[in-house]
Amino acid sequence: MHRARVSILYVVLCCSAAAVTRSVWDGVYTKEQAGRGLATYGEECQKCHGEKLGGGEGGPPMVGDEFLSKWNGKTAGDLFTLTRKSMPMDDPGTLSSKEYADLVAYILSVNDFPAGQKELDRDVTALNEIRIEAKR
Amino acid sequence: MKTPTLALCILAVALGAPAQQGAKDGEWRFYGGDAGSTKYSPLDQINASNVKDLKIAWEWKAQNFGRRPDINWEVTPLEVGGVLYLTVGTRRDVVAVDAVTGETLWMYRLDEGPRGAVVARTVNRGLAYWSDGKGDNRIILITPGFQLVALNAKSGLPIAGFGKDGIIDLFLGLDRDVVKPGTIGSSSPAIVIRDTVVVGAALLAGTAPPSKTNVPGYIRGFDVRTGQKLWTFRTIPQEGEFGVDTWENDSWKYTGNTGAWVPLSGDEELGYVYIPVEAPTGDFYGGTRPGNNLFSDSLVCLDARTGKRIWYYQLVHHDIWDWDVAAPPILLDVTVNGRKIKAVAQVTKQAFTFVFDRVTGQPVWPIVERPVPQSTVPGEKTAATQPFPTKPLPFDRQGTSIDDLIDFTPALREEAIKIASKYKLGPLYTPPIMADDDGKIGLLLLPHHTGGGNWPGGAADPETGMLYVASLTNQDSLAMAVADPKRSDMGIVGGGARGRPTGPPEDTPRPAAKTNIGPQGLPLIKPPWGRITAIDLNTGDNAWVAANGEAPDYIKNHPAMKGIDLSNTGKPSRSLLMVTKTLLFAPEGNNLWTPAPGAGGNLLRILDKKTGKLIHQIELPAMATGIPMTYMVNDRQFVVLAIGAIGVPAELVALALP
Repeated sequence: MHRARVSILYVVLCCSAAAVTRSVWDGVYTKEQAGRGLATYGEECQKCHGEKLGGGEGGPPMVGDEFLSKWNGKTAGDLFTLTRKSMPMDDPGTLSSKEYADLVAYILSVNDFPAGQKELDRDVTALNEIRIEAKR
Repeated sequence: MKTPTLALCILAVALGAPAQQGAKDGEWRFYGGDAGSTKYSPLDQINASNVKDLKIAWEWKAQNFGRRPDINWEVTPLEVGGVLYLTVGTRRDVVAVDAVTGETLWMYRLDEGPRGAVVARTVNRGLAYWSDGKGDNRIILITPGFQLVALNAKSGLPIAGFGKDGIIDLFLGLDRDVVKPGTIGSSSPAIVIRDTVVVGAALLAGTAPPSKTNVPGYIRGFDVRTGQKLWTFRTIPQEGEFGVDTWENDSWKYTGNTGAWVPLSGDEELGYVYIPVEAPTGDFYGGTRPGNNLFSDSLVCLDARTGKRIWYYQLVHHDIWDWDVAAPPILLDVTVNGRKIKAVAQVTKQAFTFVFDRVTGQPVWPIVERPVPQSTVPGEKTAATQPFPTKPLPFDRQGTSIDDLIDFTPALREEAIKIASKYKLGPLYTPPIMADDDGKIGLLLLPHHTGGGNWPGGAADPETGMLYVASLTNQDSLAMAVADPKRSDMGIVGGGARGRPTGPPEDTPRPAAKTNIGPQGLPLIKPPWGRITAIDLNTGDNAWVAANGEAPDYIKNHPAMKGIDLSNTGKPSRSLLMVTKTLLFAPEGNNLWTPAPGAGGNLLRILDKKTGKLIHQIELPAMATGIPMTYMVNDRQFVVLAIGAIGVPAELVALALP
């Protein structure tokens, strides 16, 4: 029994380690997707979070060291889930999953993470595989 | 009986009745009740003896206007001839509603395309009305995409002879080659004085602007009949104009903002409009605009027909606190030391009431320039002095000291002192600091730039000269940071509310307890956290001060507050005030961002205006978001206000006696 438990624990740890396989430095969104995110940001988010995510009266900045230090070590899935759960503040959860994914892509782009060939997924499980790392 | 009444009327005319009398004839023709923004109506069918019998007469649902339900609807409808006129939804559609039944009569919606998709301000407060008295009755709208529209009040159709097919492009004439959609708009209505539509402007918040270059929020006047532009008042003077020397290093060439985003006021008899001007670009950093920056943060009086400046008074020099002049100026006639004065009272975010003779601009009580602390932020050049009114007293706490910290229990007090030691404290006008300067997280700003007075401003009784002000006592950290040159050419920008104990919201959107920096999520500063102050403008003295209600639930239910009397702490929100013959309507109200249901308080509190004592309170379906208004149709008085909350789409509620 004892040996079996160790094996199960080993498998779980391996799976967990394997779950987060990429980081935001690996080109996890496309420029086009970030462009769509910018449009949605302008309509839904800018009034509180300010131009280019710089922060405003109603919302904190979502760019720069302070923002990244809060999110360092978390996943794109965490960012997607929180955004969907809590935003827009006046009517949370009312955008489509695609729009929330586009917004996360835009946030990554403004924070200077590189674009790639494949769009950021709208599936949370897939997004949980992408780690946010403040520095490469 | 008839003859004496007539004689009294003639006598009143002969003596010269005061110009500002609140809303007339049982109507509500201006956003603020009358052109002077008194929010006063002499109606008295609803009074202390029967207010307990008030019932909801009808509700008008706004749910399906705009892409998503609006829940922070700051509108106050107009009422003319039995019809309410209002803006609704994030697209700012216009509707006419039967004032007795709540039936929708017509709706106007302008599809602005991409211009309306990204806008500076989605919030809307209402409309302006104009009539030639001969049947030409017009509704004036400023759209989210910053277009001025004149509608036929009867049909809701655009007036063909106004501008181009009823519409004027307000992007034009702002001294910029290109005005990008979403940079400038307006959240408040225009005002019509002397057949002139006067338009202000609102821009994006400037906590961390991407550039020192922005669009200026000029004030403009248009002929209400034709839409022809009559004048532009440059709130940032250009070359050769008065005040340009207050923008050193040619900063007048590129600096923007300096609009007037709250409702304007006016005096039809004098032919003047009163403009409360906001801060310039860079809410918290002025290193890019050295100088006093006229006409930012000023109360400016203009001739409505020509735009000529009659007088001005700058209320904050070189603003680096975002202390815009952010409330409609209130016009009323008072008698001070036996002298009759046509006055204008301006309440501010930093909790002052500046009172002037509105004809001459002379202060009613002396305003003195006092030396203030100087900035240590690189490149910042603080004004050496700031204006302090000697009367009335400030209506809320100003600046922060250890004495201001909560002391409900010795343990909480100790904890509060420990927290406060991490911040820079100081008197009013202590400048923001760089983050971590001298080991401090930031400046503890009080009143906060979202505190003190704000767009709900106050209300006034022109018959007694009493001013009622609602204010919010909140505290937050303000710290500056070096701007990433890739993202901003400002050099230094506001770093937001650093030092909050929590990160991004997790449970509910913007939970109040998580925005407090005080012990265990409690406010750091002593109550009241929201109050109403009655000021007699004949003497400049306070008549009474009252908390705006009980503590919010998250404080009442806090384990550390067990057994402590919290019945008179007020809520950290601003009551939305309206005055009638005997009553002060003071719904628990707007804190700029609507909280979750229940957190902001759903009570419509009705006070005795003489004493501030609560007469009656009514639980509304959600929190009040707009200032109430009242009118009389078919001998029945109604009180109407907008409500909403997260999860409760906005609606209008009409109250009346059965």
